[in-house]
Amino acid sequence: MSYYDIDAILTDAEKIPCTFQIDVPDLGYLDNQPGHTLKAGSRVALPIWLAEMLAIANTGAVDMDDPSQSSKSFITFDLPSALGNDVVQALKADPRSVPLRDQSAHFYALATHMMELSEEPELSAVLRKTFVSRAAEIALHARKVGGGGSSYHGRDGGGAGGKGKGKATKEDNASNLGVGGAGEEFLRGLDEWERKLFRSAHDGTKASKEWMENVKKR
Amino acid sequence: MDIDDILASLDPHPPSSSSPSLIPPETRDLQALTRHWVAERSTPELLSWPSDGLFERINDKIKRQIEKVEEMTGDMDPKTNFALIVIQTELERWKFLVRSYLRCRVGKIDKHLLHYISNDALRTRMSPIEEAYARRHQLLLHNHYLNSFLGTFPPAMQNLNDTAGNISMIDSPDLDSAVFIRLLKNAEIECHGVDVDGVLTGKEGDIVILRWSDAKGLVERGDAELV
Amino acid sequence: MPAIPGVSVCQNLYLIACRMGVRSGNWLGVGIWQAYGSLLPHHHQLSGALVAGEDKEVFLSIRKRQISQLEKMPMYGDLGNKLVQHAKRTQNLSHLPPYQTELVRAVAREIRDLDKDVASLLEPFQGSFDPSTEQATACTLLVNHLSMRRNKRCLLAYHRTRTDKLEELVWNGADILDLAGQTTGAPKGGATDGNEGSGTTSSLSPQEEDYFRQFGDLLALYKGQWTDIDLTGSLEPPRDLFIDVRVLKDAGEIQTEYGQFYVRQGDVERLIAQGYLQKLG
Repeated sequence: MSYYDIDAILTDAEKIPCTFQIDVPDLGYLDNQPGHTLKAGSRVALPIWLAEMLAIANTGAVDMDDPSQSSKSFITFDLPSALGNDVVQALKADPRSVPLRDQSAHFYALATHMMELSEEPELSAVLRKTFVSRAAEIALHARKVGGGGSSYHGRDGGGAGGKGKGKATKEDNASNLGVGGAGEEFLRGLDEWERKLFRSAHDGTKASKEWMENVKKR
Repeated sequence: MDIDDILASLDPHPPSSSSPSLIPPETRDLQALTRHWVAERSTPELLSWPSDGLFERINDKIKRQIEKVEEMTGDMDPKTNFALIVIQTELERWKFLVRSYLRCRVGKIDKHLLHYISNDALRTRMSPIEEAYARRHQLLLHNHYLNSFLGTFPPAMQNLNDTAGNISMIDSPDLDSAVFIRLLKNAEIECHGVDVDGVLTGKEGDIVILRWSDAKGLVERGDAELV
Repeated sequence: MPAIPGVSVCQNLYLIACRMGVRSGNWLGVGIWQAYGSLLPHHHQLSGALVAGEDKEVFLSIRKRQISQLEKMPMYGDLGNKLVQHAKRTQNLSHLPPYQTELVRAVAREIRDLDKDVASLLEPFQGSFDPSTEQATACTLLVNHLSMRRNKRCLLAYHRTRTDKLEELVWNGADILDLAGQTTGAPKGGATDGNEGSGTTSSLSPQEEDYFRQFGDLLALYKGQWTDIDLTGSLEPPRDLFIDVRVLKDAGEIQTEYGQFYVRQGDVERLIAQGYLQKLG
């Protein structure tokens, strides 16, 4: 993970359900009650950047009666609804029919981050299968679109344009990801990571097609 | 200047007695440059700057070629015109390789400035010019942050190189990204996967895709080259 | 724009402003709309037919924002997150949207406030703070500390995204004047919040202008070490020595060694990059 990475920072802003284990007088504002004590047992949605460290940090409290409980965390947390049972069941049924983007724009990043924090073997297996079958679908769409000639994107037909031209098409690309037809709904549901995958698969197909044409010309 | 001289200069030099190989030095330099260029473009991290004077020689060569072109354009004789174009095309190709190589390196350095300047082993991978550039670039960035917001922070918050906490402030390249290598001799390849690690027995000439972190040792030992 | 019968004056204004805002890309319209939006009850009477398509989307997002502001306390780090969302948008743009002066100030201010909080929390302990006995305070301190770190990361990432863009522009040979010129009339850039402080028309902060110049100098210095190779030249492998070009703007007299019919690619690359010439075929 990278400190300056914008997507990583946005992923860390995703909120997960947390439960406070101790009373904290000054943190009522986290539960929309500034000035009040945040009671132990309060359930609050906290961004990952906060939750993760609060969960890892050790309160250092020593419980004389029960040494096994001697160090508890400030909070415990659960999986966010994006990774909840409903979503997992739907993914098991048909990974391609779930618009991951509606769960989180950074679905996979969120999932991997959560799995670094807690062991979830079943979730991990489901997600891996999900990625594989969706990646194949993404590649299929990207090939269709990337190999389909210049009609898509309304690109300049004149081959490689100047630098300024390349810029403009980059922007077109960003706004024009949705392709007409059946794949549109699927592509709309891609999370950020899948979008990147789609883009590179698309660009790759296009580049190799251009290269083949150039070879033929000579 | 006579066309024969020009054509003679384009011909491979006769192998000198001191050179162990039959390949003329200029061709060897071109091969070395091409290899450095391919390798640099396909790896996620900066590779070592060739310290054997390769770029000094290349620079000299380019300089000589430019002079030659200027000399030749002086007398635009239709006879020399063709040779002129050949030399210029060749020159453009050299320049392109050098430019593309240098840009690729400076791109990597820019992306992970602190990573490359804060560690001695990594620092020596840069040429003196690149190191000076990297230090100055980092200084400019630091000053820019200080002037824009960092200067108003409490002193303890002003560092740019904290590695405490769950994430290091010094970004580094992802050494696990994939590269293609061609084996130059038979070799056992140790590969690390997400779940299982494995050992692959490769034959000379095999082309393998694997993590750079696994390929690095092979490449550095000369058992494989990047493609 | 005619009023729509059957709905209240307030709602009509709402609708009209909505049309103005969306159709003409006029952010003033949205401003009015937001103002009137706050007068409306939560469960608005507007049917889907009236507020269709884009209008509805904008309507709902603003409504949602208002509701979330009402229902949720702002938290430390929220403003920083806004800054990073700006950065995300910036990544996909070819130009540089306006610098978020106010937002940057607010996020930096949060850090100073948090730091003061920490100091006052620790004051009663006179340097003998024991986290294991003062768990609640330890927890608050940790939250404050993490919020500061988060804000710092957001600020750095925002500025780095922009300096990356600036550096790219320098590599492409852009002039500081080009940048100043592109800014005034960009309605798309989301100039709704934060930028009122600067008072100038440049989308760069004064510090960014300095940085742009300094990096330009640095790059010139670096390039100067390679006298015979134009490092900013084309990164496409050369195919032809000569190329055909079309002249797009008057560029004065161009001296080449081959008359006007052929030009060497290396000789005119800068002119192509700057938009004087267009490469053909």
